[in-house]
Amino acid sequence: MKTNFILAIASLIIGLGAVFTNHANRNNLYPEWKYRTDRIDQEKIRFISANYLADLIYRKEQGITILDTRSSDEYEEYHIPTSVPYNELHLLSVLNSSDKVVLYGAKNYNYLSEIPANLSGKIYNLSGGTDEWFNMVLFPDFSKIKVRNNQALEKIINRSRYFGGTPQNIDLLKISTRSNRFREGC
Amino acid sequence: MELIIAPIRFNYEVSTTVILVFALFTGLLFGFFLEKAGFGNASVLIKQFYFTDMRMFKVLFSAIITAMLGIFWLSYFRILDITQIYINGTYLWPQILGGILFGFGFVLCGLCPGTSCVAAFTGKIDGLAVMCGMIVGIFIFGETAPSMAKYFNFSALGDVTIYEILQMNYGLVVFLIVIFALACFWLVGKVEERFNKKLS
Amino acid sequence: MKTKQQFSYWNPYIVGICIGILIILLFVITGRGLGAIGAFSSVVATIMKGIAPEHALSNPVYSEYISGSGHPLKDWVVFEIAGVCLGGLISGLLSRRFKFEVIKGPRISSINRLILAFTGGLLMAFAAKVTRGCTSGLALSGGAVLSLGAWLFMFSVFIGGYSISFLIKKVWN
Repeated sequence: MKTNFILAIASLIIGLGAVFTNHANRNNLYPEWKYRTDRIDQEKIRFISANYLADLIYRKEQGITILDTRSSDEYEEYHIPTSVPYNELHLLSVLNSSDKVVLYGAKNYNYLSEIPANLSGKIYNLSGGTDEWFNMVLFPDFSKIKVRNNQALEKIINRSRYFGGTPQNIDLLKISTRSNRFREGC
Repeated sequence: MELIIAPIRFNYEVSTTVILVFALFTGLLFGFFLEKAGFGNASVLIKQFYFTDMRMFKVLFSAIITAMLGIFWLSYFRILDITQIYINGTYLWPQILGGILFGFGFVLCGLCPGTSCVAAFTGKIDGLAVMCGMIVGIFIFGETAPSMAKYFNFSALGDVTIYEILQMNYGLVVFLIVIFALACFWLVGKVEERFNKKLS
Repeated sequence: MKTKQQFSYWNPYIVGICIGILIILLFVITGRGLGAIGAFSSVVATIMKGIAPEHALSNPVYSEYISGSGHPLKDWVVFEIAGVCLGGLISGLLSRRFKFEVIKGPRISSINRLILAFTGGLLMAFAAKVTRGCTSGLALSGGAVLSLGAWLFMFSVFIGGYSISFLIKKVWN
């Protein structure tokens, strides 16, 4: 019985230490996440990931409006396909007419305070901004991105080409997608 | 920050022969431990369901918490890459209802698929019967399932984990499960005492 | 259960910790957990490929195992189950628990016990294909990575087991 007791105390201590870690955020635990909510200056800000936004556009999902809050020069140089320039005056009507509104390129989140509470649930910010869009969607760098299997690899390559980008460093891809993987699962 | 060395198979070149030999070695240890716990004998496993000897629960849960703590801490110190390991997919209703059916089958024969091999190879004829039954069962599934495929693929949620769906801190979930398991172990000890006293 | 010649069983917590360390080792080296039903599925798929190849290839249940480039029996889980058999044999011989017998209660005949075991195996394999896993693959390895389906499966197995155990008490005592 004494060994059982020692084992129980040991597992309790090891488990207790786990509570005080911020494991998930530190280790990028959700590579495929779609939405996330963060608290920035007491405001609840909703984020959408670049991966998921690209999937939604690729699948031609209706009811999503993408607003570009940068200057018109930057808009003309490159904008996310199907996005329109942000216009403060039309924001409310856009909010009323779409299911989801995604904003990117914003320098701060002050615009959120002007939105009535019943519509603020529809607004999402693009996590990582245009940098993330370039790195994950247009020019995915496979020497850094890890892919789980061949289907995921094909999907990322096809999506990147659909949006007019080119995948980078496919030959430096991590080994896990080679064809010598066994069938996973029980 | 970039220490990740595990899973070794995905980060370094490992030949399939080495992996298959490692599989054999792993199975050897697993079968050895299962037999040492007494699971080669169906009467020991079935006592779990009559509350007189809760060994299966103890082995199962202590294995789960050890592995869970190990994976948590190894991935926290960036030795194990947790986005590369295999997380079983969740099919909500098939797994709940199939689990109940699995429990029925388990109690009918007193052995689970892994321990039936251990039982068969320590001479127990009923273990052999379970293995034959499983082969026939898979054959029956193969013949009947494709026509009912939409029921078996119903409510697929993908690789969802508990902390993801409850939006909780991973470490907090680990701690709560450890507490739950330790409380269950204590409770199970009391239940065993009571039911063994009732018998003798 | 200890006779004069047999060795006693290990402390279940120690065995659990050993199996847990084995699973950690498994994830560190191969990135996947244990498995049991996959081996039986591979065996059935190989048999079907030998008997009726076109039917096997057109059936999604079997083609998952035989449509790859290698031989279907050259699979991780098959080698693992082969190891389990060997490991059980070695441990049984070392602990002098190897004996040809049918484990049953005193109130049931051997043949009825074997029939029940066969039926139980049938139900278990069917259920394991439905849930895409058995206790060692789904409950143990899936539970360790906190997969939601694995925990639900584990609770369902216990619920299902306890709800029927008192109906067939006759088999064991």
